[in-house]
Amino acid sequence: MEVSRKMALHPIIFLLLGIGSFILIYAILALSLNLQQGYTGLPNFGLIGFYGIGAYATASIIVQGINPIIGIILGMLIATVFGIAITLPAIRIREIYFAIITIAAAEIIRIIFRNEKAIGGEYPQLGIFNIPLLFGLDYEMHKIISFLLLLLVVVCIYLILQFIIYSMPFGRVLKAIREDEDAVKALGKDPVRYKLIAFTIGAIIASFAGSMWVLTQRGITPDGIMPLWTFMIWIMVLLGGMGNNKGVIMGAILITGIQQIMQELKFYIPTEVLDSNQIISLTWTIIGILIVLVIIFLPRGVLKERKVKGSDIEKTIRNVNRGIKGWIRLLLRN
Amino acid sequence: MDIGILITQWLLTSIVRGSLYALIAVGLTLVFRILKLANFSHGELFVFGAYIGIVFFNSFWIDNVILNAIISYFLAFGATAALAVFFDFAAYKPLRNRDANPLMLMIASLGISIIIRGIVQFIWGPRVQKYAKPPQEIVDIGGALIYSSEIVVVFAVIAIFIGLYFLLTKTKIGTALRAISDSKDLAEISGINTEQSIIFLWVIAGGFAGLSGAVFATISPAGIIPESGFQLLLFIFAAVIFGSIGNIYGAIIGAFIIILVDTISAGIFSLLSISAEYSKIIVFVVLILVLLFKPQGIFGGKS
Repeated sequence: MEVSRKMALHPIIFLLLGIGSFILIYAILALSLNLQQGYTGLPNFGLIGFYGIGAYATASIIVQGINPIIGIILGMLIATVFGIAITLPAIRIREIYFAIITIAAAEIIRIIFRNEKAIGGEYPQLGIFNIPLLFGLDYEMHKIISFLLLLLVVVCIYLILQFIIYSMPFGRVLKAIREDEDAVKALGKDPVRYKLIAFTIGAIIASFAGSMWVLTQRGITPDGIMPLWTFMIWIMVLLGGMGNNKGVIMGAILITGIQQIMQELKFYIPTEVLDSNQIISLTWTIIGILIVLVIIFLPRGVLKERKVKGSDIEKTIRNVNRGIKGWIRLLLRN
Repeated sequence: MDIGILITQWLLTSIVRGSLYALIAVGLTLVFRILKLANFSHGELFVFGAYIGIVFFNSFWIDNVILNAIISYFLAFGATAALAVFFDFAAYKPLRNRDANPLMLMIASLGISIIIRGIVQFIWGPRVQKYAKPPQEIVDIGGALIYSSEIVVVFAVIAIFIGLYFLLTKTKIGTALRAISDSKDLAEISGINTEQSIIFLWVIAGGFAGLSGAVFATISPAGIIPESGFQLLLFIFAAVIFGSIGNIYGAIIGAFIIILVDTISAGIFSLLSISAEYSKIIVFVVLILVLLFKPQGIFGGKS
């Protein structure tokens, strides 16, 4: 560790940068799940598997000394193929079965990464470490750049998703599929194709989140892709509000905030009162209680889904006709 | 090693493990059939029972090993059943009254599983808990070795299943449960106290899971950790779905088949010096294939 080095940054800012980076990575995952479950009604319980694909692809490519961009692209490609392989046959079955299939698939991925030396490094149970700092920067600059990079990524993904969902017919078809698949079929749209595209976009985003985790946190362990983490993303989406991208980002901030504050408590509470294991257990218990409370009392989340009005569509058409200036306005409006 | 002995050993191990898994699978399939709930906290009920059982067992309050074990099993049964009933009141009942959709019920059970795991880990820590005194007698069956306690377990489980069969088919409460699984509203109209029957359901489902956990913890040399629940859960789902979800006999047979697949593939993998953990992949692939191509399960029935 570079603790001995003199730090130019205030420790609190340093800490906040770290927490901020966590929040942003979870926000990417929450946006991905929101596209799949919130807008399309595809309950992906194996989200963390796709994240794992991106993370391990990037990490093993970097360890080989190849450009990480190749790893990121490779991760996305594998996630796409895997996502299609899972969803294409599974897309017609009931949502509970879909959830069980995706969680089993994610577990298969985790077990492979835990045992294959070719992917998981020399000691696959421990994961891959020692990913170099970004752009060969020093430790502090790495933290700052990571945060800014993630912020940029989240903003871009958010804007793109908002555009796809609210300004393109595609998004309206997704929501229609969630509400009534047969009606969509009657209108001559193929729900399977739309679901497949939505799921794949989500899988690619999740894989990208994994890549970003490896680049900014400099390592990945098999425990980092336990099913438990998928459920943490779920509570972010449920709490924030399914079908509301602003809401799920807020959910990511709240849940990650709770988790990180509990982590920090470890340094202030004496071990005789609560040891670090008990603090982690307590965190999970709180998250579990939150899930149950949200399902019972706030089934639609804190920020409810925004209804699309007819005038919204008119505005979209008007903006598109205005040329490039209108397009920019369209991107920023949602 | 002689291949015959090896196969006998695999079969015996599968029967012992399978009977414990069948005990859990029955609860999961009943809950699914009657409440339309894919209970993700079922594995955690097993772990909770296991911890209650093993902690009492290792305290050796009573000098007699057998009596000590039996009391710890009863304690595990009671405590887990109480926990399951508590969570039904706290979470599932309000959701039931609101007619929440199955996915929401399932996510609520997920939250409950995280709560139980957190509590278990909070109280007993993340380390392995195992028996302080191993079971002594080893029996030799055609060259394959098995603890005498494991034979007792298998017969006890068979006795429990026979009891359960009579309970569900011959008694009033069993008939009531079957009526609710067909239609809750109709059952209510015909004067069945549905809430009371559902409490009874959770006592059976939770109690069996806890009992199975306690037995597992007191006879398994591997012991138990808080994470055991989740790994187990997917196996139980595989068993239940394989044997047609909602079908009790299917769940029992499914449990034996899934464990047989797991044991044999783990055995073959270790012979080929591949990580035995890959046997889990085989089981999960079976689970996925059954869900994709025969979601109503091998034994037909209601899906």
